[in-house]
Amino acid sequence: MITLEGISYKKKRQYLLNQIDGRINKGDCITLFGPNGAGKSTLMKIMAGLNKPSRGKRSVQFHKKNPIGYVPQQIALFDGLTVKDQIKYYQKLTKQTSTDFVEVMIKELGLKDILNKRINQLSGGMKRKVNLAVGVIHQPEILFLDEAFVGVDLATKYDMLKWLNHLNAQGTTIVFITHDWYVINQLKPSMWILDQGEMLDQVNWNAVPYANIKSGSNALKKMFDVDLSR
Amino acid sequence: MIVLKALLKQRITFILLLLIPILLGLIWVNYFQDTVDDLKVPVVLVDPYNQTITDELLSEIEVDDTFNLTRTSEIPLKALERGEVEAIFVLPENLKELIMWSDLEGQIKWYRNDRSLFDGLFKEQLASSIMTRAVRAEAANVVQNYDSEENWEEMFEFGLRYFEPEPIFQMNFQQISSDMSENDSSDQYYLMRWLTWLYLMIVSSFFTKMMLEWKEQHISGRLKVISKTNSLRTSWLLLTGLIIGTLGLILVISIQWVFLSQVYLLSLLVDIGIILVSVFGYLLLTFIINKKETLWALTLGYGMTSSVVFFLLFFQILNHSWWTKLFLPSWILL
Repeated sequence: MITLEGISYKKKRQYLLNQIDGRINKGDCITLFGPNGAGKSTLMKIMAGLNKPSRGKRSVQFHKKNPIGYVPQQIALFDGLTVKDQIKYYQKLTKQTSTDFVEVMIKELGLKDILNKRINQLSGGMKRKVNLAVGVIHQPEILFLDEAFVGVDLATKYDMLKWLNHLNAQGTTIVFITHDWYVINQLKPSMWILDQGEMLDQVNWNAVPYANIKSGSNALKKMFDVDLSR
Repeated sequence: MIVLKALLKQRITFILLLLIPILLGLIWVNYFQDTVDDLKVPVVLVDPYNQTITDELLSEIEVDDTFNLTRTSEIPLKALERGEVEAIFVLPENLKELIMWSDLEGQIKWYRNDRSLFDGLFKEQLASSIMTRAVRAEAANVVQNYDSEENWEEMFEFGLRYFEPEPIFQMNFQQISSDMSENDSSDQYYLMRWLTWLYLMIVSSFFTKMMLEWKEQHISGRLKVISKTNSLRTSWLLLTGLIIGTLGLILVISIQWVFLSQVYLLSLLVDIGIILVSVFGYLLLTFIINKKETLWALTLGYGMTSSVVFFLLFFQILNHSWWTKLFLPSWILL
C-alpha cells in the first residue's frame, strides 16, 4: 500500500528524518512511537503526501479516488458551524454517498445529540470525536491519526477506539501517533519506534518487550519503562 | 458554501461589513449636512402676530438655499449678539393692509451686527417679494379707481402673470460659494477614496486572518489530502474577492455619485483595481506567512506607509515616482 525507501527530510539545515524505510500493507495497524522531536509527525505527513521528502522514495498503491483520511493533532474544524454542517461538507467534498456508513458512524461515536451544536459549544472530547468523524467520513483505505486522543476522557476514548477497531476489522489501514499506552494496548498495533529522526525498530504489539531500544535516548527508554513497569 | 458560512457566521464580519459602513455613512452625512448648514446665512424672520401673509412670503423665499431661515414670534437679540444669527427682520402688524395701501416706508425693522455681511441679499429678496405685491396692489387700486365694478382680487392675480420682478442682486456671492465648495468637495472625494481603500484593506486582512487560522488548525492540510485542487484557498479567494469587490463597487460608485454627481469609469476602474490587487496581495501572503501577528504587522506597516505616501503626494510635498506607485493609494491621485 505504502512503501518508504530511504526517506530523509531536511528543514533549516537539520535532518528531521534520516534514512527511513518501511512498508505498510492493507489492513495494518501501525503506531509511530517515540519521544517529542523524534520525527513522527513529519514522517506521517510524508506518508500522507502532505510533505515531500528531501531524499528517498514514497510509493503508493491505492484503489479508491480518495484513499487517505487524515486526522491532525489540531481540531481541524470550522468554528461557529454545526457538527451537521461539517459532516455534510466533507460528505459532499469527498462524494460520500453511503448514508448508511455515516449514520452508523454518528451512532457509534455518539454524535447524534450534538449534530445541531456549533463546534465552539462542544467539550474537548466531543470536538475530538467530530475531528475523527470528518477524517473517516469517506471510508478511506488508510487513516492517519496524529495524536487524535489528546485531552480525551476515558468514555470518549472508549467510543473512538471501538470505532477504530471496527474500521480496522473492516480492512481500513490505520497509522497513528500517540504517547498513550492505553490507546496502544487497545488497538494492538505494530510499533515503528522512532528517536531523533532515526527508525530504531519495527515490532509487533506482542513483541514490544523485546524491542531494540538500546541505542535510544533516555526519554524513549522512560516511555517504555512506563508500560513495562505495570 | 461552508466557507461562506464560516466567513459570515463570525460576529465581527457583520460589524465590519454592515455596521461600520453604516456608521461611517451616518457620521459623514451628518458632517456634510452640518457643513452645508454652516455655509448658509442664518437669518431670522420675526412675525409677532403670526400673519398668513408671512407664510406666503416665506414660501417664496425659502426656495433659495442660500439662507438658513428661521421664523419666530420673538426677537432673538442674544443670538444676534453671539453671532449665531446674521440678521433679524421684524414684520409689522397688518402687513397685508400695509402692502395693499403701499404704506411700507420704515415699517420693517432690520437688526444686524458689525460682522453681518450677506444679510443684504435676504433684505433684497424680502423687499422684492413685498414690493411685487405692493406694486400689484397699487395697480389693482389704480384700475379700480377708473372702473369701480372691476374685481380687485382678480386684478391683483392678473398682475401676477406679467409682473415677475427678479431680486435686485443676483449675488456674486452665490458663484464664489459654489467655487469654494467645488475645491473642498474635490479634496473630500480623494480622501473618501483613500478611506475606502483603508477600510477594505482592514476587511481583507480580517478574512486573511481567518484563512491563516484554518491553515494553523490544519483544515487546509486535511482538505489537501482529500482534494488535490486546494479547494479551501480557491473558495476563500472567490468569496473574499466577491464580497470585497461588491462592497468596494458600491462604496466607490456612491462616493462618485455624491461628490461628482456622475460615475467616471476610469476612476472606478482604478479604485476597484487597487482593491482587487490588495485582495490578491493578501492571497499571496496566505502562502508565505503562518502567524496572525505577522499579518497584523504587515497590514499595519503597509497601511501606514501607504497612507503617509498618499498624504505627502496629496499635499504635493512629494512628486509621483515609480516607487510611490508601489503604495496602492497613490494610484488614486494619478
